[in-house]
This record gives sequence, structure tokens and C-alpha cells, in this order.
Amino acid sequence: MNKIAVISIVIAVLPPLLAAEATSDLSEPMQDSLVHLEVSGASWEQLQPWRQTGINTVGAYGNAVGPYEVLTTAGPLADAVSVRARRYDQNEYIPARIKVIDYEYNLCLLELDSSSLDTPLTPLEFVDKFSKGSDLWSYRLDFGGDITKARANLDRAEVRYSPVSFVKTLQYVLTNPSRSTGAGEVYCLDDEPIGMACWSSDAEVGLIPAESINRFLRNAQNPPYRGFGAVGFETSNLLDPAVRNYLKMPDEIRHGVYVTSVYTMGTGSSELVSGDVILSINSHLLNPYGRYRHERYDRIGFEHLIAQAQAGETMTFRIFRNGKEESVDVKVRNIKAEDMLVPYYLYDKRPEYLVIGGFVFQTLTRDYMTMWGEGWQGRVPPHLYQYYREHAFRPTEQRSDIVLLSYVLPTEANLGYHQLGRLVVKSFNGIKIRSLDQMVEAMSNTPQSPFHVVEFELESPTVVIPKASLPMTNQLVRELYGISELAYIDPN
Amino acid sequence: MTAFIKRNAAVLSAVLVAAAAICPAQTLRPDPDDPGTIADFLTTYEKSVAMIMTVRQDFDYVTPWKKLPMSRGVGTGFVIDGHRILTNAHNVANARYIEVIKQYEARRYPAKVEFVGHDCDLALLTVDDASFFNDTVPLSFGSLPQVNSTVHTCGFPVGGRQLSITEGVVSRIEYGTYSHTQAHTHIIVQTDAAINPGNSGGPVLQDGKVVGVAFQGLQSADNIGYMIPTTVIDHFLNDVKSGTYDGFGTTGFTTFDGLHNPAYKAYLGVPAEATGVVVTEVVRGGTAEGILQKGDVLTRIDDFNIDNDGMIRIYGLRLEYAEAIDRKQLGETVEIEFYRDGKPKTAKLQVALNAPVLAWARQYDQEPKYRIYAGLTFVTVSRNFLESWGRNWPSEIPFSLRYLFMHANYLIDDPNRREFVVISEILPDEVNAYAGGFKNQVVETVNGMAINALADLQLAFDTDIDGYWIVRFMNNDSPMIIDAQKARRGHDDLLRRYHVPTASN
Repeated sequence: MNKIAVISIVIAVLPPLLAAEATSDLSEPMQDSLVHLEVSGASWEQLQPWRQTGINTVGAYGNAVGPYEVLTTAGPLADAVSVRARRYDQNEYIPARIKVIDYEYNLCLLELDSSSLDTPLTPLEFVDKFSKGSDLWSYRLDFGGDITKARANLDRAEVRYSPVSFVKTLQYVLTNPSRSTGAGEVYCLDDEPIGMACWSSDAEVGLIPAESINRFLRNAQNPPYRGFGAVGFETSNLLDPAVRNYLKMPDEIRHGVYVTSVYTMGTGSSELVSGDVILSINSHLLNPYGRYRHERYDRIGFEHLIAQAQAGETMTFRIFRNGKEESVDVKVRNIKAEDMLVPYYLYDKRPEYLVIGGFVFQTLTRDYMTMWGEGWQGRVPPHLYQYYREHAFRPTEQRSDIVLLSYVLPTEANLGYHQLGRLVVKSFNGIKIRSLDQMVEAMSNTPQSPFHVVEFELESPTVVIPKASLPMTNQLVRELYGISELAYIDPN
Repeated sequence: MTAFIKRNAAVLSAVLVAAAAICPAQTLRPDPDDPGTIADFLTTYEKSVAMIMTVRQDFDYVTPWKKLPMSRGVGTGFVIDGHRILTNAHNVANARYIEVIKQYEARRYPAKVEFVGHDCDLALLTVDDASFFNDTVPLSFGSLPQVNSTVHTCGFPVGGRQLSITEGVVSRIEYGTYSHTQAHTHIIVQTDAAINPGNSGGPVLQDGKVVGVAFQGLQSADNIGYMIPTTVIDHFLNDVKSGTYDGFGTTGFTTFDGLHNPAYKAYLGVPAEATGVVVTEVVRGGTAEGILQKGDVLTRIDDFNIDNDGMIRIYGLRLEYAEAIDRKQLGETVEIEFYRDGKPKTAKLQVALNAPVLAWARQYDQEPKYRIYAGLTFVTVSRNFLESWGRNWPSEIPFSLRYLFMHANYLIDDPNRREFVVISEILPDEVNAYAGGFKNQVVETVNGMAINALADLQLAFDTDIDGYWIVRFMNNDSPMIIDAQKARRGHDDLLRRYHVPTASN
């Protein structure tokens, strides 16, 4: 037993060491390909959406993918106002602009100001390679102007949630990094770039693999950018023989994953129904956990099949429905956060709000709920959280936003209502409210009435706002609370 | 908004406590017109204040055929007329054994609970051995004390075994949450007389009479203790005269105190000079259903005008209008005046329990019900069940249960709903190997039959659909499917393996 253990340790250790010795140091050739990015941005305060937060500047790492084009992750670019790049051995900053950004897939293509560059960058070519257990080397241009190098071990490929969005994507997971890794660092295998870091912890690093990067770049070079597929349904495993028998699935069909619910957006939202069993997607058989056998990564989640497809393409789902197999053509759709009933994020967008007579109306977003702090999921009032948890991906024509009375800015005119807040608006002047812009329209709905009348969900009181004194009250609110604009409604 | 106020108040955890006092022996002075000093009083009554020792064992709401470990507690009680001992309900809740001990006496007297009112945290005990009462003098009751007046708290707090007495003043008299159930609100009297664990159930004295029963303190503050006033004690003692304890009632509606706003008043058609509160919800099936409706403005209850804060002038104090209801026994009525669409109206409302489907109140002395099918333990959702998640249960329970607990009335779409049923525990077996994901979800139907109470399961599980039990859950499109024949076949063996005495209770 002991001998076997010793031998296996030696085997486990030797290959990486040998591989490490076989790898060149790319620090010098990388000098014309790596940039250090400085991103300054400001978002908006969630509870006072008329106020911007302070300017926040973060650093990131960029990799040339064209003479004047740089690839990085989307996360650091959120709410960016100014983006600047610095090259190796050059002190001056080069202005950059966002050419294409995809927050769902966490990738961003920047274009540098060519007139500020003496020489073009040397593009890196990302190569589809995966070698489980191999050592990878990362390179980045530090804030201090040095190119630094680190090592980590390529452990596995898996489909997991993107660190900045609600979409599951393919990621390589590296273990035992030799130093902390920053978003955007390029990782190389056998001297060839195979991915870009998108998250890291003390023990692990996540990479966006070359195949996702190249797909994004191809898409970005052919405007309009259409994005990639996002899953429009939820699944659960189909292990229970009793369920298979109940569904009248033949014994020979031992694969397939169960569809538990279907959204109103995303891939499959129009074609699937809950209770379907997905047997295969584009001829890839799904096992009862929803994984398929990938030639390079072995078993990975079916979400990758959908994420590989461009929005607008068609995929073939083989499903089991009502006791028989059938094929369904499914249109690939992506999901934009701003289209969700409760947006996961609103990067680069101002939050909508409407202040009427001191009553502050806002749309419910995930960012709004995170104001409850750590563990917010257990602390947010459940009547708000349930819209996020149960209905976030189910907007309808009748309801595209959840509008809430966030709180009341106290004045004499809204006396009696000062303690109200966190109430979901049901109707305004008798009109069922679909979105915040509809509230603006509804203000003119009852011209004869001396009041605007707001009704809420749950056992809440009615809010009555006198129209005659409203201009004066609004002016007072402006002055008292320093609000320059009493409303912001997204024109889009 | 009354409903919101009640719920928020319930979160402030007052701590249940108790007290006692050392009394120098002096001559009897039972003259109620001359109360004398507190020392004189204690000379007469010290043997009427007893230590109550309880062995308690709470129920297990997840696996209800088991019970939690037992614990011991000490509190205080005092003798009142009719050879009875008045104490706090929380001293004797879930008690398996109770004994009372008198000052300067080694003997223990086993006692029994005659009546218990968990909603007002009061209980009456009896002692089988009548000799217990031989040298006791029943304490009598006074009225609500004045704010700033001096009171003495008597009892057996931690730190010693002899009767202890502490002096303080009445600081406030207002409405507050009774922490024993975490849900009921009545008048509470605040005092700075030290009230510590063990004081619970002890008399609070003024001018030789009991003006309250010490019962809880505020954990986050120094020297803030509370007593149950005689208005509540009287209600309890009058209630039990019928031979049963029925409890405090409500009239089944909630209100919002927003009529400070003249526009709101005008919108509701209420005269400018009128004051009151706006009805926001009428409890389905409650006694106000069909009488009041959302948007009504309640202006007067019995002889009391309601102000825009929802307060009335009563007992020389300004208290919530709920006191006008609290002072009534179940079945009695209150007369109300209200405006609807600008027109004044009057009505009578009967005071009733109006118990919600999912009670906010913590329950005691009621064995939780359960039923087991296919190794799945079905129980009803209650506060006690939710508290099994531990100290931080409000944020740690599954979201669907949190939403249900907060808004059960809003989520009920079937008027026949009497309980919410969930799977609390799974006894692992081949038949339920894949059922783990359905734990703690509210059952909607079994084999197509609505489950509006735990009792409905029996009939539903007697059926099957093509040999399967199909269980559907609230807000879940995915059913749980169980092989019914296999479940029936293995039922007895499964219970035997897990030492479950019966499949239901």
C-alpha cells in the first residue's frame, strides 16, 4: 500500500514540473499585447436614484485582439464613464471606448484611440485547447508597468454561473494559483493563450475559454451584435423511476432531464412546457442531470449548447411529451437583464424613478434589494423578494416592471403617509400599472378628479395626492430634499 | 398601520422573567383600608407568594412523535381567592410536573394547571393538598396604577431562594406585545423595579393590593420590566368563571392611521372635523366580514372617539382602540360608528377569536399533529414549526414559508383552507429516495384532491392515480410522484425501522 501511494505521488507531481520546464517565458513577447486598463465610473444611489454615487476607479487587465482592439471582462466596465489604457514601457494613457460589451457573458471589446498609439498592438490569438492537469501561465501588465507571470493548474471545465450575471457559461477552473489573479489576465497553455480570467479565490481561478472568446469576437466583428442563447426554462434531474413510469417513458429511454418550469423569455420559452423531458439538443443526448458528453470536456451542462448558439439561430430539441417522443425547433433567444421583470442589474443605465408630492416611486431591481445588506435574500420583505425569486424571468405584456412606493419624503402635504414604503403599486388613477412610464401616462387619466389615487398590493392603504397643490408640493420637495429632477424614465 | 405595528412589535423580544422578596415576620394586617408599609403587607402575605418549580418538555414540530429534552424552570405565583394560585402561563407552559414551595417551608406541594391563558400569559393553579392554603391569605386586586407611582415587585428571582422584593415606579402604561406568544398585544405597565428571571408570575403591589403580575423585561435595556395590569387579569379571571378559558377576541379587521392627511379624508368623504382610522383589510370569515369593508373610516367604538392615531381615552389614559375590544369577552359586542362613501353608519361587531389560518402566535400545550405516508412526515405550518430553524428563523426559513408566514391571508385562494401542510421530515427509504427537493413546500393537492388541512390527507392518500400518488405543491409546477403500491407495502416496516409509534396522531 505504501509503495503504491509513493509512486502515485511521484506521478502526480512530475508531469506539471516537466511541463513547466517545457514552457517558454512569454513576458517579452507579451509586451506589445497586454495593456493595463483604468476604468472610472459612477452608478446611481438606489434609494436616492437622482444622485450619482462617487466616482470609482478600478484597474483591469486587457489583451490585444486587434491592432487597436483590446479584450477584457465586462464586470469592471460596468457603469464606466471613462476608460484608459496604458501599454508596456509607456507612461501616457490611451483613451479607449467600449465597442461591444456583453454583461451576460462577461466579455468586453474595447477600441483604443489609434492616434494615441505610436505602433499598433500585437494581437493575441486565443486557441481552443484543454489539457486537464496541465500547468497554465498567466501574464498581465501591472499597474506599476511590469509584466508579471503566475502559474496555476488546469483542473476542470464546467458550466457555472457567470460571476457577474444570471447566465450559466462554460468556464475552466484552475487550482493552486501561485498568486492572486485579476479579471482579464490571459492564461497560456504551451505558450498559447487559451482563456482569460473572470474570477478568482485563494484556491481557484475561473477562465473564460478560448471558444467563448472567439465566438464573441466573431459576433462582435459582424454588427449588429446579437448575443448568445440563454436558457428560458428550469430543469430538475430525472432519476426517479416512479416519475419515468408515471410519464410513460419506455424502459429503453434512460436519459433526459425534466422541465420544471418555463419562463416568458429566453431559449425554449415559447416552445417548451413544464413537464416536458428534454432528451437531446442538436443530437446531444442529455443525461438525467441535464449534462451531455462533450468531446473535450467529458460531461458538462446542457446550458453550454445553448450558450454556443447565436440569438436567432434554431436548435432541435428532442423531447418526450404526453407519452411520446417528438422534435421541436427552438429559436435561440438571449435574455437582457433590463428586460427581466426584476432586472438582475442595470449596468450603464440610470434607475427609473418618479417623485410625486414627495412619494418616491421606483422600479424593483436586484440592486435595489441588495440595499438590505449581507444576507439580503433573507431580509428583504418577502412580498418584494418573491417577485425576484419566482417571477424575475417572467415579464408579460401586462406587467414588465414591478413599481413600488419606495418611501415618502415627508412634507405637510403627505402627512399621515410618512411611514409608508416598500409597497407594490397595483393601480394609479384606476389604471393597472405595468411599468413606471405608464404611471406618468396615468397621471392624466382622471382629469375631473381632484386627486391622484394610488392603490397597492396586500392590505395597504390608498394613497391620495391632491392635484391642486401638487406643483407647489413638488417644488417644495425639490428645494427641501435637493432633488433637481423629479423623474427619470428610460426613453428606451 | 395596526397590522404592521403588531408585527414589528413582535420582533422586539421582551424577555420573560420573574421575582420574589424577603419579608421580615411581623403581625398580620389584613385591613384593606390601611395598607401600611410594604413590610407590614409582607408579614401578612409572605406565605401567599410561592415559588413555582416546573419540569417542562416542549414538543418537536418536525418529528412530532418525539419530544424535546426536558428542562426545569422557576417562577413565582400568589394565592388568590378560591384556593387558587395565579401565575404566568409561561411558567407552566408545556409543563410535565409542577410543584409549589412556600417561604420558610421545606415541603413541596404538587400542583396542577386549572386554567391557562397563553394569549395573556396568565394561569391558575390548584394544589391538591388543601393544607397548602392553611396559612395563606388571598391577595386582592387594585386598579391600574398611576404613572410615577411607587410599586413593589415580589417573587423568587435568580440569585437566592428567599422571597425578594424590589421597589420602583410605574414609568409607562401602553399597549405592547406579550412575548410569551410573540403575537398578542394588550396593555402593559412598565416599571423600573428590578424584574429578573424567576420574578415571572409574582405580584406587583401598591397600597397593599396587587396591581399587576410581573412577566417580562426588555433585554436591550437596563431596568425596564413589565407587568400585566389588572384590566387583563380581570378579563382572564372573569373568562374562567364559565369553567373554560376562551381567550381574548378581535373583531377581524386591520386599520391604518393615516387620516392626518386632509386630502385622504376628503377622498374618503369624511367630514373635516371627524377623526378615526381607515380599514385596510377585513379578515375572511371574520366577524367584520360583510359589515366593514376596505376604505371604511372607523370613528367611534363603544363610548370612545377614535383619534387619527387610532387611540381612545380610556381609564384616564390614551390607549389603542383595541382596548375597547380587549375588555370584552368572546361573544360580546362592540358598537362602532364609521363612514362609508361619506355616509355615517353604525354597526355592532361581535368579539370572536377570528383565528387566522396561519397563526402568528406561538402555541403551547397542544401536541402537534402529523401524518406519515411513504416515509414523508406531513405537519401543519405554525410559528412553532418555523421556530425549529433556530434563533434566526425569520431569515433562515425557506423563502416560500417566510412569504407564507407574512402574508398567509393574502395567499389563501380557497375559502376552505384551514391549515397549510408541508413535509417536515423524510424518513429515507427506497420509495421516497427522490423526494428530498419537496421538503418544506406547501402541499396543494394529493391525487387531485385539495389539501386544506392535515386531516384531508387521509382521504386523498386512500386513492391513487394509475398506481401513483401525485402530490402537487404551492408555486411549483413539478409534482412529486410516489409508487403507491410500494409505499403501502413498506409502510409498517418503515415505521418500525425508524421507531415511529404511529403513522398519525
